[in-house]
Amino acid sequence: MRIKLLASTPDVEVLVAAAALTTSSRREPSEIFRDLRARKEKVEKILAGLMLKHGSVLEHNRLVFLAEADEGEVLDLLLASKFFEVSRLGRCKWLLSCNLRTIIELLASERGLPDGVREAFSGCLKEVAPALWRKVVGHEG
Amino acid sequence: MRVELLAYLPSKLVLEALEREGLAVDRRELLKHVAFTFAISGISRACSHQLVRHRVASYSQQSQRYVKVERLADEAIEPPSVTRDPEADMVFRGFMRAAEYAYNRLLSLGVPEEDARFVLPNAAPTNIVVTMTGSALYHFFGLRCCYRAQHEIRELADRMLVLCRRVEPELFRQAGPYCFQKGYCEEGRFSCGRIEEVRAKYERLGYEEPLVTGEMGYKP
Repeated sequence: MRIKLLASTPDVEVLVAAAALTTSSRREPSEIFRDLRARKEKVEKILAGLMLKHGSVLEHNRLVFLAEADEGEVLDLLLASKFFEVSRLGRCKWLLSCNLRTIIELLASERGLPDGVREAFSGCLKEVAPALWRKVVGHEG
Repeated sequence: MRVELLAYLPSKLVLEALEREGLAVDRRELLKHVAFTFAISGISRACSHQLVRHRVASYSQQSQRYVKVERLADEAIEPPSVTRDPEADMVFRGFMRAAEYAYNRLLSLGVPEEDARFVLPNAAPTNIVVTMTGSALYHFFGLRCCYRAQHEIRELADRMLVLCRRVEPELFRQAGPYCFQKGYCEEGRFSCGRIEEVRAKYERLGYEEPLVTGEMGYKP
């Protein structure tokens, strides 16, 4: 199965950090977001302290992929997580999307995935959310 | 109420990337893959309770376990139907003062925030970050822009729709209450009977009108 990242929500890590702070702060989320956008070191500090089992803050984003796969491989992926959205584009071509929580939970699990998926998702996570990639794949914290 | 679109995945990025691969996707399918993240502040807990019933979405809400509620009597969200009646207003404000007193008294007796909050009313203000896909938003607008929806969440839905139309005018051109989306009302005997008025409003909302409180014709 070949997976290529087509597009993603901008400022993914800032959004995750802003969502996390919103739950425990008196400040408005838009104000928190603007503040964090200008303070990358604070974002990294918040992400470093994040408990990934509280995964809901990882959901405020979308990653869209082009997948080249047969129907069986797509079914395997859908069985691995019910949170993928899939559209058929043509023979063996699929538009696939999910949020970071789905990616991170799959990468952290022992579950078998179609060939190439784990590596592709790891690469995408590293690209859009490098601090979270270090935490999940690099096992930093 | 303050609503801001914090971030979104532009449909143009997906369409252009697909075009480079010689592929295309129709609007209905595309809606499943793009997402919009909103920062919402100063709504009541009554409103957020309705919001989070939309399960195909993601939420991060200000916690009453970790954030102490301060100045409840001043910051409570008071519905217009209460404000405009002096006696109802007096009853409402009196109860908010009593709830604030009870909450603070419980805290002073050593009751933790997570238990003291049991006396807080639905009028308590809250902040929340919400993310929905385009298709989840179409369903949300279908139900909550409807004139039968409660006025606070209807105002929230209208504000979110305006923000979506500002950044994705074509993608959300058909969005609005279900009567606007489908061309007929599904509410049966509960129908507001104002489908032409609703249609005229949602053909324009976000394309022509400024986003100013009180100018969108809410009738609680």
